[in-house]
Amino acid sequence: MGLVPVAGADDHRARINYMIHCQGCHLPEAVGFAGKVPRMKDFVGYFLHSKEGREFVIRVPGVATSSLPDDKLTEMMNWLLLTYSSEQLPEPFVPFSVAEVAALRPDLETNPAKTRMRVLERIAQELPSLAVELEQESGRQKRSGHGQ
Amino acid sequence: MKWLDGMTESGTREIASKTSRRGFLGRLAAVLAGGAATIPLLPVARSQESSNPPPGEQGDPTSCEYWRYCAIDGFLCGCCGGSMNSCPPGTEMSPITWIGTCENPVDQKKYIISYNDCCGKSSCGNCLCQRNEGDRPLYRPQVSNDINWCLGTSSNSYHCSTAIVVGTALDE
Repeated sequence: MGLVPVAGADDHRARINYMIHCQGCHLPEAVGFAGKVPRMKDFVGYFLHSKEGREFVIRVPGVATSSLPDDKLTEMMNWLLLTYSSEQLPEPFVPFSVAEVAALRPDLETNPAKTRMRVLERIAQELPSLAVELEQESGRQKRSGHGQ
Repeated sequence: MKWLDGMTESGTREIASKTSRRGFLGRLAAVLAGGAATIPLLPVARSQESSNPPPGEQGDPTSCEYWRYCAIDGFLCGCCGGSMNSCPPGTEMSPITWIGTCENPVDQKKYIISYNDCCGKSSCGNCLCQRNEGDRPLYRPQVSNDINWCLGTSSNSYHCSTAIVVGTALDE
């Protein structure tokens, strides 16, 4: 799937906001750090295969409590999904709207690790490629001693 | 012990007759040069500055007043045996880091600064700087510079902080 332009979005501004607000922990190219920071590259798009997953990616603390205003946060999230995880997105991909992000942010996710697994396992039941990813992730965690 | 001398001598002569020092150095260089492309030999390899470095520099990188340190809270690696871009020997650069923006006095543009900590030794103790511009309280950890950012390193002992330019911020 190619990049879908989102009306009024500024990719350069989104990239800079990613660098300032996310990259410190999620690292350049959103690769994450095994056992400490979730990988978003080639992964985060899977969440959008369910309603609760779509809500989860906005309600996670790093996103919900960001100092970015709703419009810039929405722009950055849509850019992030299309830039780093377009292959995993559902078809068609419906970009987040500012109103949707604004409504979800105040409902902060309080147990992200547990909810993340629950959301992903449900999606994986319908999506074999995600099931394979989760198996690999679980194997890596067992080997490195990082459990959830 | 004469038998030992004799064995050592014959062994050494055999090695010397079959190999050359130049050949050894050549192979060593190939390993180092080839390896450097794929495996970072030092933590600094991860922290190379971005493709758009600032146009000029002004000020003393070992002074807290230096422009890149506007949001720093810690010891300057430049005063601890490293530099503003690299860790002192014996320490490891944390990949997970605190990021801020500072204005370069040369062109009055804002740059994105990554304050990667160097970890693995106790506190350096030299050039403590606390400018903290843009710092937020600990309950906003991703924008707080008071936490120990030695995350993802083999040791969480904080030694000093670098200030690496990773990009140009927006003019807002």
